[in-house]
Amino acid sequence: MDWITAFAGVFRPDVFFYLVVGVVSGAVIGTLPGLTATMAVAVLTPISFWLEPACGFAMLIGVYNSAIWSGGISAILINTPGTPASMASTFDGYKLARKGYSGLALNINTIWSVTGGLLSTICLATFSFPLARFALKFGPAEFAVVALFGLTMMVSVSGSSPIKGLLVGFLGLLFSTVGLETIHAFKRYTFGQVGLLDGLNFVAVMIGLFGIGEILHQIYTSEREENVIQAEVKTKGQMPSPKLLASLVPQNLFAAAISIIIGAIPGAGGDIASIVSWGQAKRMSKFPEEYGEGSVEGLSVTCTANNAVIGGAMTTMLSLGIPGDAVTAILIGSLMMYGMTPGPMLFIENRPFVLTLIAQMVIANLVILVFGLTTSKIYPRLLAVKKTTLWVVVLFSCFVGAYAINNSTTDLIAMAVFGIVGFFFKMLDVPNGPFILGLLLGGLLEANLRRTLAMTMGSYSIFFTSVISVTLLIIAIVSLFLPSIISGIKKKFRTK
Amino acid sequence: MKKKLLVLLLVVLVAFSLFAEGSKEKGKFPTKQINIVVGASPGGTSDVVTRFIAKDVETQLGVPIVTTNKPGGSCSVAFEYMAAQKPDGYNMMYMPVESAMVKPLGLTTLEPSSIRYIGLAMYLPATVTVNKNAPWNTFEELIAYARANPGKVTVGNSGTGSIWHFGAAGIEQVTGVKFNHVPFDGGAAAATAVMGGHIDVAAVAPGEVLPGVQGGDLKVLAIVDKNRSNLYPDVPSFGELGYDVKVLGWGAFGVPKDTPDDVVAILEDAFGKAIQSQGFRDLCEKYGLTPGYLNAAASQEFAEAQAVWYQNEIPKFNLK
Repeated sequence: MDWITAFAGVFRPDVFFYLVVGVVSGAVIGTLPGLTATMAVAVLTPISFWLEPACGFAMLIGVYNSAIWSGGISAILINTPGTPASMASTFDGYKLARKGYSGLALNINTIWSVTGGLLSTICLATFSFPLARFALKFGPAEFAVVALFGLTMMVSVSGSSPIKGLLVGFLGLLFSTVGLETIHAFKRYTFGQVGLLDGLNFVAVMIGLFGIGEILHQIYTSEREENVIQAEVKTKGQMPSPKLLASLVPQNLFAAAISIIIGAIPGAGGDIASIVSWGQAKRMSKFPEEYGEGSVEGLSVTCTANNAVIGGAMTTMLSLGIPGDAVTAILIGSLMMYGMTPGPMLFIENRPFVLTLIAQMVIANLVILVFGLTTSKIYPRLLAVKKTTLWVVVLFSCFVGAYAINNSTTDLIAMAVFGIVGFFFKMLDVPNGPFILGLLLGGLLEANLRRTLAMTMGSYSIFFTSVISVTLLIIAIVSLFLPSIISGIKKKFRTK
Repeated sequence: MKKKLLVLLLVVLVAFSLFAEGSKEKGKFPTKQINIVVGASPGGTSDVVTRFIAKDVETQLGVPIVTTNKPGGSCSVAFEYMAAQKPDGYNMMYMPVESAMVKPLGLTTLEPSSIRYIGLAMYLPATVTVNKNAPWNTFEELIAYARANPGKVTVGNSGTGSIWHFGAAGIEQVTGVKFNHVPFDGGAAAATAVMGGHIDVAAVAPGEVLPGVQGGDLKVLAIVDKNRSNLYPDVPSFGELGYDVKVLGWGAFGVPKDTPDDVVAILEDAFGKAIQSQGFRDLCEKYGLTPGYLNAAASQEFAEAQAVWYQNEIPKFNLK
């Protein structure tokens, strides 16, 4: 009965209106590189205070889900992740688009993002408390191991040349040390610049490396050879067939499960989840060689992953009052402004509101599904304009986006510098993935490793006494060496 | 040639027009949008307080007030930006306790005397919070244990060199015990680690531990303030327990140093009213802040005194 009221509440004209407003504005903000889901929610939060809680939250929930989904659109069409969470969607999505399957890729993004969102919402609705309790077990030691596990993906995201990948991956690790170090607040590589105290901004570097680098490369190559971007929709094979979708179900269920847990862990978000899911799916896939070359499977798991994080993050936020990622941190603020404190008590004192939130998550995802599938024809057409026009527009939005992150010129400079780096990476056929992975996880690994050692007075034994840590370490080692062991055995048998 | 001359003439004329604004009807303030910079991310206490006050001042002064976030380096990024802005009253900044700490921390050369404070809004005490399953039920029990086991109690703070790092150190000073300090990425992260049983104590703000306390995962043993907190009426304060309060967070507003007196007076009045409003008091209660207004002169004096204290204390920590 509660549920019926909750769902009926979402279809109140005003609530539904704000939900759709949220979805549409989230789609716009998420598609623009640099304007992240966090920013979308942060911008709309003050507006939501003018509304009653149900309407305000309908808008925020709509924006949150939609911006994560639409981040994949620019990842697919222009190789620039709209939000960090869709970073891994560039690996296969952009390749698919260049092969002329942009329509297919966009629909895959919509369908699997919505699936991920719905699956994670089901988790939120059914076992939020056990999940949140489990997530609490991730302390600094476990977190360090998660980061280490993520770093083992470096080889997977290296594409054809693991050596090049590892080289730039370690370069990424080096760049992650810029800024104030965690334990003693020692300044590293800041060169007296206040703007560098907090390190290189991950989003700015990402926009530069992927977005600017890609545009520069296109400009450079366009004079020599007329390789036009195939952004038009192919009429055939635009809608994925039920058979294709069915074949993707197992991998995506697995990706959703990983991502819901990663989302629930405080501090870990969609960026890590999608890259880990992609790497894991590649290792388990029957066609790992297609990954990074335009694999529908590869694209679908990243889309499932980043949206599945939302339900996980919401679970921790609502049931424990702890932010699962940056967006839910802001949502806690808005809940408190409405006089509600997230935490176990919320489920008792404000149960109807929690149910409303969950119902809004479901409806928001369904709105995205309809909106996404109907608009998938428009997006590529927007990009079918003259190439020069497209370059200017993308460059412009990259600059605006990079500045908008923190209103910082340092971020702009970082973006420009890494844009040039990205260009040379592309020229030398060096993959971006490992670099960005190193930059993303290097800081996490270092901070949590040193935090752990500060806690234990320098003893490493905690890594081998914590069940979670040991399990993750074993999985990491196995998944790192198993492929080469298997192929080694196969070779032996073949030679015999 | 004629064309070039024309262009040159135009450039000169346009260039002059840039200075036109300065001579515009003097004495009337404000006539356009006021910008407030917050040196922290959206959604945090600094941001919420600033946006709330800004909304009130907006209706009083009749001009839009836009809040912008420039996080980084414990507010030093925003601080350096503000010090370089035009001192015309249209550029303002939220000045947290960190503004008195960034110079001794070596993050910037700016200090409270480099800025003009127009009013202090509130104070923010630390709490001493432990897991509900912890063997200590009172602050005294915790201290007795810490005294018997020096360096064994792990205390999470909001980051090395952050306000709650010194908060925990202040507790060490007045009780004479030795903690093992563990820096986290923000106070909420430290509270989370206590909930998960990874560390013993979180010495962070009342609002940051509230969800855990309400959910029954955490218990607050003491409020590091003279008086009790509205959020935890049953928890004794340091004042009652007979300890000095060494470190307290606070938040104020400031403008670039050379902002004219008449403009400062208008801002001081408007912000003073907003800070002393019932609405702001309610907000403070919700976030576990202690409302407390100081006018421009008093807040300037307070901030500079704080800077002197941190200048003396911070070098003792051997951060670098």
